[in-house]
Amino acid sequence: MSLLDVEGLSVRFDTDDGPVHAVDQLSFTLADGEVLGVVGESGCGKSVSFMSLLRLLPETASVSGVARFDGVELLASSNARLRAIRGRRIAFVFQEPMTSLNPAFKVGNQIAEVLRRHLGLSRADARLRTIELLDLVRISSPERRVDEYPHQLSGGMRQRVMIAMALACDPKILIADEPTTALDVTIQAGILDLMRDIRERLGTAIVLITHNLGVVADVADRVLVMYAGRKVEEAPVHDLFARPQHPYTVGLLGAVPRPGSGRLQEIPGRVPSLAELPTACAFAPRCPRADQLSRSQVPELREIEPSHLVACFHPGPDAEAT
Amino acid sequence: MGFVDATSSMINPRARRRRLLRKRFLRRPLAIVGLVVALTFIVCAIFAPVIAPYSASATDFNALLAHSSRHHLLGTDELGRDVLSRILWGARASIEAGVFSTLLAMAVAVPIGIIAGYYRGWIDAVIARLTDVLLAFPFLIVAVGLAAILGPSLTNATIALGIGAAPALIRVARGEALALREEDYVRAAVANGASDARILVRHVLPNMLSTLIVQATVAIPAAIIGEAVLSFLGLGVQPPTPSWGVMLADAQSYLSQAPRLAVYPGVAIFICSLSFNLLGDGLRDVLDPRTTR
Amino acid sequence: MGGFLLRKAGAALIVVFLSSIVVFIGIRALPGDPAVALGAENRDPAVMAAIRQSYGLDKPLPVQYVKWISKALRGDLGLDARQLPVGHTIITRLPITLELAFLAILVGTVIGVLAGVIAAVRRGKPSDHAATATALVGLSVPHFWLGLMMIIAFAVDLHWLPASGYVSFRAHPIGNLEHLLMPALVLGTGLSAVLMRQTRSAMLNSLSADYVRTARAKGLSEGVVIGKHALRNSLITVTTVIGLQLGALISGAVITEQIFVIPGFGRLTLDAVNERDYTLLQGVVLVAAAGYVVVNLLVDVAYSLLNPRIRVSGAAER
Repeated sequence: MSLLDVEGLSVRFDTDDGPVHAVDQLSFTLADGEVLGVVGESGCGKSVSFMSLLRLLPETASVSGVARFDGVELLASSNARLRAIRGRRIAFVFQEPMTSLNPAFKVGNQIAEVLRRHLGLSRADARLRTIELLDLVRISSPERRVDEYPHQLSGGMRQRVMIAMALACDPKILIADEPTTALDVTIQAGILDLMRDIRERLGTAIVLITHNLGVVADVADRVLVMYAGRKVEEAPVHDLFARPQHPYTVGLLGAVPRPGSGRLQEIPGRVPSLAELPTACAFAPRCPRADQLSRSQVPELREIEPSHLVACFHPGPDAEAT
Repeated sequence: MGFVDATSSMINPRARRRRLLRKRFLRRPLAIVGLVVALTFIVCAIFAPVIAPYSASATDFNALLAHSSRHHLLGTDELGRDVLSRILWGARASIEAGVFSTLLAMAVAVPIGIIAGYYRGWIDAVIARLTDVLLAFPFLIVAVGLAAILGPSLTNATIALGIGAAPALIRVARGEALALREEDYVRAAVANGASDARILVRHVLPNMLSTLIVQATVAIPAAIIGEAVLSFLGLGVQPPTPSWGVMLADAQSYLSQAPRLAVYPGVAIFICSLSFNLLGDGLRDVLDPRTTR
Repeated sequence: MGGFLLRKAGAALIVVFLSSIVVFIGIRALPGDPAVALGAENRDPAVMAAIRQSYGLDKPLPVQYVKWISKALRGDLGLDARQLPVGHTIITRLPITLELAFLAILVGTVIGVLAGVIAAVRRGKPSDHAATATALVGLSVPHFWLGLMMIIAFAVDLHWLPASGYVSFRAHPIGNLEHLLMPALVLGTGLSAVLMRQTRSAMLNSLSADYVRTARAKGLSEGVVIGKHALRNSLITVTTVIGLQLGALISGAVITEQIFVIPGFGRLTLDAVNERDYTLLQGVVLVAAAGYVVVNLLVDVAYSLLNPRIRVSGAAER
């Protein structure tokens, strides 16, 4: 039984300029203790998909589909039910640690808040547990840091505080939305180490949302590639890197800087507008393999090898058509 | 839109921006209402001698405290003067005080503020302290003081109102100058050796204009109410010259007999200042790059 | 925080000092013989000589100033036209105005902040439009006129509240509040209108901030998210606004006391001008300026307590 089972998730925003189909029929599963990497460009719908699961999107969003978490049907649950799950059994870590922490309250206060809300801990107990958590995320002198304000901490430390806050109630799933994007490269490595550590020690399932394939290679078990609101490829991490099938994935891999790889390959063109549902392959305008077929029909997901799905009429590891 | 229009607005970015701003303004009914009503008041003020049915001091002892009638649309006051005419004439004092005091405040505050914000350093510190001193005296006390020294009159009231509005405007001008001096085109001008005066006049001032306009449309209603307050207290316009504030002061003695004498001038002040406020709010929205419509 | 406050206190002292100079020069600038201006309306030569002596009117200006200010610091602000000590008059009437101002700030803040929060949370809905419209009306209406209207409605027509006058709190607590209710409402209207708009704007910013999203993602109830996380950051703006509005509040107090015939400090100013009592005026203006500066300092203290960036590590504000 998988921990999280999502089927046909679609998110539509009703804006002043018309509808925007941010996510289109996304389906995936997440197993206990698994690390799922979700990769794609900005605006491809990766963050929106996960925020929609816990109803964290603005009112202009319409969400449809099914999302089963541990026996609970998330998309049909009441607000009260979801509030009990948020922070307790599914926790979020956001991209900008600078602005995601409330500048007016001490860091310890913000972590303890979660403990007291969900676990009913007393102030004293919450404080002790907070110090433990800060230690868990490898912040030095946690007893002192507990009483500090966000502006007194560095970016990397703030992100660790966010992670500590997310882990406070020992959630089943930790959703990390671009956790390292706003940080220096050297700090990034530390955070990723931490994530690996968490998975080892606590057995938390992690969803790692990022546009950086390098990050995913380090930590993930499986990878899900999204483009223009749809899933275009999904595979165990080694398979994806060894035998990428979708031309977008191939393009992404070509864009990862590696020593000795020569000039970086860019993917020409831009992400399509999401105002209408696609009637053809969304990647066709930028695809070197595009033909009559991909410009007139939407490709469905097919299993090309065990556990390796791809939505493409011309899958294959080479940049050219197979 | 003809071909010539299209090309000329393509070539001239200022014209294009003005057209865009006009379009945005026209989408805001409240702002349009504000503009129309404010203009109406201004017109009434200018043309009061022509529009008003009676002169402001023409008394009619046969019709004291009369209710509205064919001859006197809003009735008469305790001396038989036509209320409607006095309201129209009173608009003069209010608009005059409102507009001129704001212009005075701007003329004083903008240069000072720009210098403080652009040059910073010790001159900024000195100006900041002086502004604080000005602010330490609530404007009414300043007006009171001026009335004591120079004698009460509309002119002195206008000056006092201008001085009262200046500190806040200095702050705004300073803030804008402070931000604008970091803009690339200003730095480019400096690097090209442009003189300070040229930079301030050609680059800094025009870009503050929209903020200043908004501040002005907000300062005017405050000044209009201010003039009413001062006249009410006897520190501004002196009777028999009509002013809405004076009318309210006179009405105080007749509150139980003829409360309507207190209502009319107050409503006039209210609508006049509301119209400027609506206009100011609308302009602020239109000029704010963050609003979408 | 210490550094921040020390700098603010220092600036405040300078401002008070400069203000006193302005007051001093202002009085000396009045037309006519200063001795007459300063209280010898009765022209009794002996009294005039005494005044000249005590103010050092024959000495150079700076000496005069020093004499005056050193006396003032000791509480001796001279005698008014009725030969009553100015300091004493001020001390008896100041608490009345302070009570009025306190009530007005209370009313204004509660109504303004509440309305602003509701308007921000229910943005775009009818309650938002209603609150915003009311605030606009509150900003545009002349408050002394509002006072007159309220007197007509509640005192003359309905006889619910007294039209004027004042009763001290100790003598008659209910009566005291009855007399001060309308004045406080009138005075607080302006403040609440400005506060409502500023609070709404600050709350809209807070509500769309990342940390509010984090708070929701933590599973906190909407009440806590709005009331604790969003509101707290808006309070910083609110405090700044109150500080800026204090000047208007004092001006408003002068008129309000005039209309409702309350024997407060504000009315004292008017009386002083109308009766050409310049000693009294001098003392009143000095106290008003100094008081205003002190209150602003208190607002700065409150601001520094609310803004952790200032409280801890004493970082300089923008």
